[in-house]
Amino acid sequence: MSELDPHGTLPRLAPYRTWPGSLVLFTLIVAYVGGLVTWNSNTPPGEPVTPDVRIAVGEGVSYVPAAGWNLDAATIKAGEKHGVTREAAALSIAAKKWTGSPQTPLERAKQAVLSAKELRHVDASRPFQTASGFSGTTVGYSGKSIQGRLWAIVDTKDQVAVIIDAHATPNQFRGVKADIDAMVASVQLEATP
Amino acid sequence: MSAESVGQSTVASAPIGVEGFIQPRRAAFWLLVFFLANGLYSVILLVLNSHRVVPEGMWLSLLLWTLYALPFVGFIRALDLDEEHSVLGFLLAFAWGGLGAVYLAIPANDAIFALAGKLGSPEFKSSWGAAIAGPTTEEFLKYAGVVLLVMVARTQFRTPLSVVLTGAVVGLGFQIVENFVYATNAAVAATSDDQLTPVLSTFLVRGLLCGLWSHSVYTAVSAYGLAVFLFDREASLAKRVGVAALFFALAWLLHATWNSPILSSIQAQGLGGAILYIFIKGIPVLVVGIWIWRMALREQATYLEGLAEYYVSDPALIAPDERPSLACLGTRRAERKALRKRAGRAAARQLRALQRAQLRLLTTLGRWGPGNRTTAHERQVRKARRRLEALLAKEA
Repeated sequence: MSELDPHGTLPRLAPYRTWPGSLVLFTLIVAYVGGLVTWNSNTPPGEPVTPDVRIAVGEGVSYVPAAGWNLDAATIKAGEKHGVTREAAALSIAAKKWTGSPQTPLERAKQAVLSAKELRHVDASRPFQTASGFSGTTVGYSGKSIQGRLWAIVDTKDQVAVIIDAHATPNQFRGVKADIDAMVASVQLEATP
Repeated sequence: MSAESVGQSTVASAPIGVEGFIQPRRAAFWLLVFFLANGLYSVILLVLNSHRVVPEGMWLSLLLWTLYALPFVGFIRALDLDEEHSVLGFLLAFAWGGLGAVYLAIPANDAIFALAGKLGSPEFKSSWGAAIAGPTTEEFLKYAGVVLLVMVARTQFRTPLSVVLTGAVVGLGFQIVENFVYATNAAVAATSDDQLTPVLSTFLVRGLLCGLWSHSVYTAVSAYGLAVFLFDREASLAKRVGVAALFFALAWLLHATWNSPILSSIQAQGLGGAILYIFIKGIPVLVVGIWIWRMALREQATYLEGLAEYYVSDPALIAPDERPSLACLGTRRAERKALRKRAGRAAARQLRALQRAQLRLLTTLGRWGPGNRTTAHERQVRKARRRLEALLAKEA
């Protein structure tokens, strides 16, 4: 202690090591974030779907998941969104009230997919019609390790927008295409009274 | 991280002074830079992606939350009574919250939500996912930033208040970026082409109604525990660790309660119910925040009075009756108010200048001891006092 600092309370420019503490902190952060991500990747997505059972998504929209697929518990949001997976393939279907332009939902979904999935190619959008009479717009997309398709159905009368996104690895996409088409074709909208 | 990591004799013989936050020779500095750089990249991508999907909503959100941050930063800066931290210290704390912590929290939170859905159920995920993921991931990551900043420049942290304020700024940075994300997500989830109304509603709810009891308070609470660990050297290590853990748990509990569906039935009862719900859940958080701030301020007062007692004997610099109010914002404001009534606005302004000059003098003394660095501050105090006395004489 000095005259200047009788109680030893003034800060001192003494060297000190921070690498042990930094290493501990880095390890804790990486273990926490990496551990959770790894745990999630290694946890199976959910129960197998019950064949031929119609699932309510929300806003009166329902569909029938294909047999052999599993519920995607991480995607499902009651009243808003439902999803199923099969190996690397996934299909999600979201429904919401929509009072805006019929083009906007697909455009927004396309932009969201473009920014999230590092795509290389996006097809031109084209109209489609399901066997049950629904019509909308669809667009395909592909990237280095992904191939997928978006479908948008906007029911202006009932003011509902439905967005379906299905994707898989390019090889697998061809294998599950029939299932995906069947699930899209099964979409129904309960008419409002 | 502690002073004991180098020998006590080395510390005692080292020159007196305070280091800046740029410390390229310390591993902690590079760890901070690493996470900040990754965070910056990730948050820029987030902003660009939002711009792709909802450009108008993104711009409005960016503008609103930037403007929102400014008075908050000013407020926290005002709480830093004696300006212990440099602007860079505040910037780094804000950046850790808004960049480093957000960047790390996104994948961790996503994983917890997904696990809640898979191991629990989609309903459990919707109800309790946020109450588990939010506090666990976010409180840990924000706290890690405060610890890292202390490691980078420990001499910058002289009192518990300095650690608490750093925590508050880390929390604020997180709060602002999180709210930006929520607002743009609301625009994406909108039920019409209008992107602006959902952003404005989010701003109203998350910014104006919930802003006072959010991340800034949670991290200030956990940072107080860290301050006890750092400064209560007389207590045993076990006690210091225990107290730090308790305050972290308190921050976790406040955050978890806020995010939980507890009392959500009130929220369902219309607009009045929703506002009541926000206040019922928010006020306890604010009360704890004020309690923490008052404890830190009390310790700040003891620290400043100690410095004044030992180093400032000249009453022309700090008069005996001025000492008790050095670190009390309320008393200082009351003194200015009384003077304004008695001698006018100019005198009150001059008293404010005198109070600030006195605090700057004490801060410099606390960092460097008496010497050349304090002489200029002493001159400032004398000058401010002369001006005040001249104004009072004129008034008389």
